[in-house]
Amino acid sequence: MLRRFATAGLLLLGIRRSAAAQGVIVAPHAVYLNHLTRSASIILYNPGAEPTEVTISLFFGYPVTDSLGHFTLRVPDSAGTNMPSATAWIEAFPRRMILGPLQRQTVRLLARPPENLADGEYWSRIAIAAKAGTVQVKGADSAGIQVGLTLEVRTIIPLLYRKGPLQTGISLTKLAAVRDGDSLDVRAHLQRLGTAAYIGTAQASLVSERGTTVASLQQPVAIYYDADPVFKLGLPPALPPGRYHVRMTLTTERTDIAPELVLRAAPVADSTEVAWP
Amino acid sequence: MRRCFVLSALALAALARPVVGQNQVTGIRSLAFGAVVRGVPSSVPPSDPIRSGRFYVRYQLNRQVQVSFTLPTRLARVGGGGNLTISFASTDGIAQGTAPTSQPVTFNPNNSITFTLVTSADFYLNLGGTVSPAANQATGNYSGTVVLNVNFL
Repeated sequence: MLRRFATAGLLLLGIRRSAAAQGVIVAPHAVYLNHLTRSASIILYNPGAEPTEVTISLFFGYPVTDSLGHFTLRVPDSAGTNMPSATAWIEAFPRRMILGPLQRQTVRLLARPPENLADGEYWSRIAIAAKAGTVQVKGADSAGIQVGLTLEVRTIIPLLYRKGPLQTGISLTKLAAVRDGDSLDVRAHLQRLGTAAYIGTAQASLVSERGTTVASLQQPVAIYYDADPVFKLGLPPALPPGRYHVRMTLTTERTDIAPELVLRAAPVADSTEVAWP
Repeated sequence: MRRCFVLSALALAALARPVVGQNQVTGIRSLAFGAVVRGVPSSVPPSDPIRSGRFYVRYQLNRQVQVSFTLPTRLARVGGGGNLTISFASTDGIAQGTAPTSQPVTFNPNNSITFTLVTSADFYLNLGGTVSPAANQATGNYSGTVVLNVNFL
């Protein structure tokens, strides 16, 4: 198994070298703009040895959860007037470019909001599409049929535009835990409060009757309206039978976001009891 | 001379240095169907180490990414005059993290799927597929585009 993995690793080294031409690195993970500066930037970097054609576009969407509790992006057919969309008035410069090998490019994002824009938080998604050259795959059949497929990769990151004083918060209800093989599915209903998306961290732990934490997780969450996410708590292999408490806490602590961009809210917590097995 | 080399090396290292808080989506290789024979479907499994399509995605540990493909159903003949059917089965997608403990996950590339990055902050996606040339398929070059959309949630 180890040898097989090592061989795969050697193959990957070769692949990654040639592949670097067919995509871009994008930073940061999320873009925040405010009504005072009305601008921000993202950095694109082509780590490869070949030029890459890059196109920037924006669309409206926000994360929700599906029936299984997985986060997914909801993209309405059209952002109505009741949707807090910033898409129509955010512009990217440049929108199209060729990124040469090892080349960096700063893309400026400028907001031109309507004059009567109400206080609040407005959202969009930035799509950075990178296209490589066509890969010719030749079929050597006597009929001379050849197939060439072009790869395009789209990196999609969130954009949040803030105007005026904003508050956020979260309500945590319907906490439940269900065993799923060697893990515990912890689910909860999360309802955003206030006027801005709740960008925070969920922490869940499984605590024995003696007060010992036997499993825990920490996962960033972004709740734009409401969500019913599932958090998979990995369990130790030999968990003794007994009663346990599942504890969940939501805080606005985020190490990956600049502190001045974090909207603070009081932590919320809940717990429920679960029997094992 | 040596100084020049050192400076060049430093400059290259600076260029190659990752920027802070970065995401990466890379197309590594496209699907390669090899010899295509009229009237005979040609399949590439996603586990094929050479001919499967392959992508690389990097984000942050414990974060979630939603992956979806925009896949062609027909490849157009360059210059016009015909299409070549291409299809993707429900098991034509495989995702695997880079950690030694990461297990491969088979998925349907026709649907979107969300991954939580538990064991590694990056992973590979492999894509298989099938082309089905008709018995009277016109000769020539056929082309199409495979698009990978990665939503960083």
